[in-house]
Amino acid sequence: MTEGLNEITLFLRQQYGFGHLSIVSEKPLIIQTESGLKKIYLWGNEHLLNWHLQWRHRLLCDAFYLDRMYVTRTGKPFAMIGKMAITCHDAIHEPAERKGNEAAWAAWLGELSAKSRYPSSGRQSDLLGAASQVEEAYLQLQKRPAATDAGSIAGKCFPAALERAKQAERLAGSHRSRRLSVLAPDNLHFSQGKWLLGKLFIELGQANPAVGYEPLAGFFGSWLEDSGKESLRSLLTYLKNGEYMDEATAELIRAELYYPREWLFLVQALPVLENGRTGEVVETFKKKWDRSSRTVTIFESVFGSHARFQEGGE
Amino acid sequence: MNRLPADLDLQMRRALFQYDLVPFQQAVFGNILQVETPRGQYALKRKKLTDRQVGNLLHIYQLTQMLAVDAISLLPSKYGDLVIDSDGHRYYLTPWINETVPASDLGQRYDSLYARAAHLHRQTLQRGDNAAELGQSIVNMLTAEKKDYEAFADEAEHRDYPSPLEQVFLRHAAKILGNYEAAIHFFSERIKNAESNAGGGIRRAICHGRLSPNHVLIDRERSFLINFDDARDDYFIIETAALFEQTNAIYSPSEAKWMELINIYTSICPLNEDEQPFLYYFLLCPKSLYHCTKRYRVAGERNEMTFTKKWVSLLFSYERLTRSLGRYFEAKRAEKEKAEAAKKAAENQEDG
Repeated sequence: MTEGLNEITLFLRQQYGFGHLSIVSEKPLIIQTESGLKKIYLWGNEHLLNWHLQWRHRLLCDAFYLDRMYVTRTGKPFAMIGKMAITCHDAIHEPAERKGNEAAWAAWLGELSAKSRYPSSGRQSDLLGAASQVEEAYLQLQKRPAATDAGSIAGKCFPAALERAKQAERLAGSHRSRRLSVLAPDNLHFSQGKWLLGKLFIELGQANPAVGYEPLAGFFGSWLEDSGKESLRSLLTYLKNGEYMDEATAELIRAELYYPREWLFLVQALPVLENGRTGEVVETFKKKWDRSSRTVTIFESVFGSHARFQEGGE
Repeated sequence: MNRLPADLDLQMRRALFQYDLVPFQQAVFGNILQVETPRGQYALKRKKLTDRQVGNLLHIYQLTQMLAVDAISLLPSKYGDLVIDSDGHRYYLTPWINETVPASDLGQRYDSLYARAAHLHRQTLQRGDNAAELGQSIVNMLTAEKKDYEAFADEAEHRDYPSPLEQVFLRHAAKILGNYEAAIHFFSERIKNAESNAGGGIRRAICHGRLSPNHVLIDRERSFLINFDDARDDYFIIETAALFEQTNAIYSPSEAKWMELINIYTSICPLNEDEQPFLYYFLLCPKSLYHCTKRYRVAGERNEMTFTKKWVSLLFSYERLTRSLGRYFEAKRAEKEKAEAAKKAAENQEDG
C-alpha cells in the first residue's frame, strides 16, 4: 500500500468511524469495512462536488437508490484532506438487468428528465444548424476524390444524412424558446445501474453533467443494441405511460436521434483515415447509422410522429 | 431470527440499508421493528407521516440536542437523514429502551408521564398572553355543550318512564349545569378583562399532542417521551387539561393519587395565577362525560347498564379530580397568603 493510501485509510477511519478497514481496489478506490464495501471518491473540483451534492438531493426519490454521500461523524457529506475533498459511497456490485426491469429504468430516466433541468445552452443551436453542417461537410467531401470505401459510403449517404439533419433542425427549431433543458451525466449508460434489494441503484459517481438530450438519445441507442427492440419499446412505453416526459422533451430527444453525428464524424475523419483502418471505421459507421435508424423508429412508434428517415447505411 | 412476512422483511431491509444495519435478531411490535445488531439494539419505527409531522419531529430533535427536552433522540441514517422515505412509508431509528415498568402499571407510568409532560412544558415555556381567542372558543364550546345537556334534561323530565341513565342524570343535572354556568361566567369575564394579564397570562409551550402512558418509555429512573409526530406550539394548559381528562377516563385515580399527580406536574411546571383557575374551570366541564352523554343520546342500540355504569364512574372520577384540584389550589393560595402576611409582618416590625 502506498503512503498516500495509508494516509487516506487512516483519515477515513477518523472521519467515518470505520473500525475495520482494508483496501479492496485502488482504482476505483474501494474499501472493505465492518458494514460492507464502500467506494471512495477524491474531488479536486469543489464546484463539481457541490453540483453532485445538489444533483443527488434533487433526484432523491423512493423509486431507486442513488450513490449518496455518507455523512462524516460531524454530519458533513464530505471531508477535506489537504486541498482535496473525500466522499464515501455504497459500493454495489450486482449489475441491474435491463430486460424485465424496464419499469425501474423508466422511473430513473423519467425522474432524471423531469427533475434534472438546467438553462439551455448552445447545444440546441448545434441542432439548429444541422443541415448547413451536413452541406458544408459534403462540400469538403466533394473536394476529395472518393478513393476509399469510407468516402464512397459517406457520399452515398449524403441525401439521407441531409434529410435527418433537416428533421433534427425542424424538431429543435419548434422548441427553440424552451428555457430549461435536461441535465444528465455525460456518460449516461445502463452500466451505471446496479441492483440492490429489488431496486435500481444508480451510480452517478463523479460524472460531468451534460446539458441537452444527447445522453438520453445515446442511452436508448445503447439499450437497443444490448437488449433488443421489444425491451426498448417496453422501456419507452413505461416512460410514456408514467407521464415523465412532456411532448417537448420527447421531440428534442427525437431531434438528437435524427442528428447525423455518425455521418459528420465519418466525413471529418476521412482526411486522417489510414487505409488499414477504413474497414473498421466503415463498419462502426454502418452499425451506428443502423442503430440510430432503428432507435428513432421505435421511439416514434411509442411517442408518435410522421417523420421517418431513410433506413440502412448504404 | 424471527421471520417476517417476505414483503415486510424486504421493506425493513431496505430501510435498514440506509442505516447500514444488518440485524442478527429482529422482532415486530406493531409498527416498530426491534433490531439487534453487533452495534447495539435499535427501534425502527415505520409510519405514514406528513411533511408537517416530520417538521415537528425535527424540531423536537433540535430541542433534544440542546438538552431542552427529554425525548428519545433520533439516529441519523448513513446519509445524515433523521427521517427516511422508503416504499411509501417514513421511518426513523432510535436506540432501543428496555422498559423496566410494565404497561399494566398505570400508577408508575402516569407518574413518569406527568413528570415528562411537565418538563416538556416547563422547558419550552414562552411569555403569557390573554388568550382571548382561545377563551372565546371555549365559551362557544361550553355554551353549546350546556344547551345539549339542557335538552337532555328536558327530554328526561318529560318522559313517563325515564331510563336508568336519565334518572341518574336528572339527579346530578343541577350540579353539572351549575358547573357549566360557573365556567362560562369565568371564561366570559376573562375575555372582558382581556387586557389584564396580572396573573402572568396563559402561556404557550411545546405540546406533545398525544400524551399517553403508552408514549412514555421508562428505564429504571430514566424516562422519555416518544411519538412527537403531533407536537406543536400551543397553550400548554389545554394539553395539561387533556392529560388530566385522559387520566381520569383510563386510570380513574383516587383523591390521594390525584394529589400526587398534581404535585408531580406543578412542582416541575408551576402554574401561574391565571392558569390555575383556567385549568380548574376548564375541568369543571369534562369532555368525556359530555361525549358519553351525547353517545347515549344518539346511539341507536345501547347497552343501558354499561352506559349508566360508565357514566356514573366518569362523573365520580371527575368529582375526585376537581375536588383534589380545588384543594390543591386552595392550599397553594393559603400558603401564598401566609407567606405574604409573614413578609408584611416582618416589614412592619422593621418599620416599627
